[in-house]
Amino acid sequence: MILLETGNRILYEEVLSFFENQAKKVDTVFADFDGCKFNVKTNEDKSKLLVSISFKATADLLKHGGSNLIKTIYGAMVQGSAEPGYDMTLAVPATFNGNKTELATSISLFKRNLVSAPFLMAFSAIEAKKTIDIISVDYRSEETFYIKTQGDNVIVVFDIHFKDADDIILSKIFLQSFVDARKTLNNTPAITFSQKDPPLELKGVRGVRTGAAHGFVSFVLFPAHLKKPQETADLIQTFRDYLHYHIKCAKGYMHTSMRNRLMLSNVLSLVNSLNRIKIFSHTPPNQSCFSIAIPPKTIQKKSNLLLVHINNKQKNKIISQPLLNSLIG
Amino acid sequence: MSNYDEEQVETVVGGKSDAEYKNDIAAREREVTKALNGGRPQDALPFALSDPPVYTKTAAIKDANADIVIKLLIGFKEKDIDAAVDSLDSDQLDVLMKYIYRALGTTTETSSLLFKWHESTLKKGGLGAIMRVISEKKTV
Amino acid sequence: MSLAQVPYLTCIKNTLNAALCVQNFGSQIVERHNKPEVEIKTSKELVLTPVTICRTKSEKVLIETSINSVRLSVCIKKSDEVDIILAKKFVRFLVQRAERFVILRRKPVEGYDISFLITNFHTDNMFKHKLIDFIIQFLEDIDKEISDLKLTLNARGRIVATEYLQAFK
Repeated sequence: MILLETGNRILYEEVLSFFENQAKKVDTVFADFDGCKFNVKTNEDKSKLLVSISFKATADLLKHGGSNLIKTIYGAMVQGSAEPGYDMTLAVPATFNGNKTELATSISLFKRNLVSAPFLMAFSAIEAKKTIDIISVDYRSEETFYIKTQGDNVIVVFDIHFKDADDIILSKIFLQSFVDARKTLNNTPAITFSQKDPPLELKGVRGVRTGAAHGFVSFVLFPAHLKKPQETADLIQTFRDYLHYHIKCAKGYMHTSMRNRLMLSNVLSLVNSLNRIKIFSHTPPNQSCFSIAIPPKTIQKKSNLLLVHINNKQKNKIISQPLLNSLIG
Repeated sequence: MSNYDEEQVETVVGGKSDAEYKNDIAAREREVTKALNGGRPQDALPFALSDPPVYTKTAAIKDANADIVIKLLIGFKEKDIDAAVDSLDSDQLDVLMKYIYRALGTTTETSSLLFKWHESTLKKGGLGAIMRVISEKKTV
Repeated sequence: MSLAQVPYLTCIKNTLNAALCVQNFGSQIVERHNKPEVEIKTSKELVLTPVTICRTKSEKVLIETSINSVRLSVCIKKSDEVDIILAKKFVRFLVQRAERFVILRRKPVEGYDISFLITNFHTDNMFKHKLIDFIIQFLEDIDKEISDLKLTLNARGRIVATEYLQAFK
């Protein structure tokens, strides 16, 4: 699976298991990408299951179409005030007896629905031939994304912040391949990326962060993409996680391959070859001028060291390569 | 403590004065330029390698001389190198090897030509030539 | 091994062959000490002229010789930023496992990426030609490994990007 899932798997399983094993007390806290935290717990009398989310961008998202969307999807489930320490809470009565899988799926998409709201709003504005002001969503402490309409198109700009200097360089490779890959594919959004300085689309927007650690990626979504609003919104919102996920994978791969190289192939065999043959000249048995000890690995035997004693006649030969080769195979 | 004068290790007594070396270098430069312009750098090679300023303590003189010799070395065509090396005696080979290492340590664009020089000189002069580059205090 | 690299490696090989001519030599200053002179440099007469062999500006080795030890420092070829981080990662990976490499120095000499320290004890225990072959093989491998990693990195980038963009259709 290369593309990320939009739903939260833990959330899905938690909700499902609650309704399948009736009236068990739960209280689980877990995290998702983007510094997002979930809490699934039962209330005091176990009459309700409360699903709360803590997400930095909630306020921004609710303002830009989030509250309407959440209301349409979850209706009466939305709890008036969130649980302490969280930004939003859904309350499901324990007596719920509809389709459990459907309910669990819908709840697992809680964050996805929240984040899609501004995208869907912008898409429908284009549909209705309206323009909207630029929407900015602070979804992480250092990062923001912006949505802007321009003619028939919607422009989405991600400000992606990298903590690690190596990540900046790796991200450049990945982002460059996005730009390159686009050339060979049709019907994809236009992508541009720039390091340090924000793109022209963000001209006049206040509070844009700049600096070497910030990369700006802009997507221009064409009308064709807006025909499938939910799919497009899902893809776009996972972009940052997708990028970071694959940078991490790439680093992991590098490490594994270095390790493999060392363990299995040449370098190790070199390390072995360094240790393979040692000349012990200090304890020659009678009649021989020195001995070679060849570790068992070299001769493929499970015995201890094989000692080859070489007498004076053979002494000169030992230095010669052919004899050595015949000994070590 | 060792039984020798620490300061004396680097100094090799003998040779010419700095002024005399300067004259030598000027003569060498003329010869090398002439050979290079004439397209026959091998003519100037023995002269370029004769009497290098190993005794001076002035780095500038060594630099000036090395520049000229290296300029000559990289002015060669690859196919001429073997023949040129063949015509040298063992002292000249040692000096040549010293200049090759000096060139390898500084110039970078022409390293493939210098590797060729290294290979030919090693073939003729043997490991001893490299040995003497490393161990002699008479640096060029 | 890439063909262009052969003369460079041959040159290093020959130089090492000449330089690796070491003997047991106890310290002249401290009783019962026996330390690599190339590291401690107690006396000028024990340390010989260092030589540098450059192939390109970023690809070079420094060979320092002394009476009982030889130090070889390598600067790995780095043509762009990616090479730099790959080289950095690779070197760090190796240095952390230095004890298995016997001759690897834990800290590279300043200005170089990775250093080896070969003492007379190593040449006593191991064949000199094997030691030299090991180093040459190592130099080859490290270049190959880095270019391999770079290729897979680019390939991954391409796949990741194509897959994502295709999903928009």
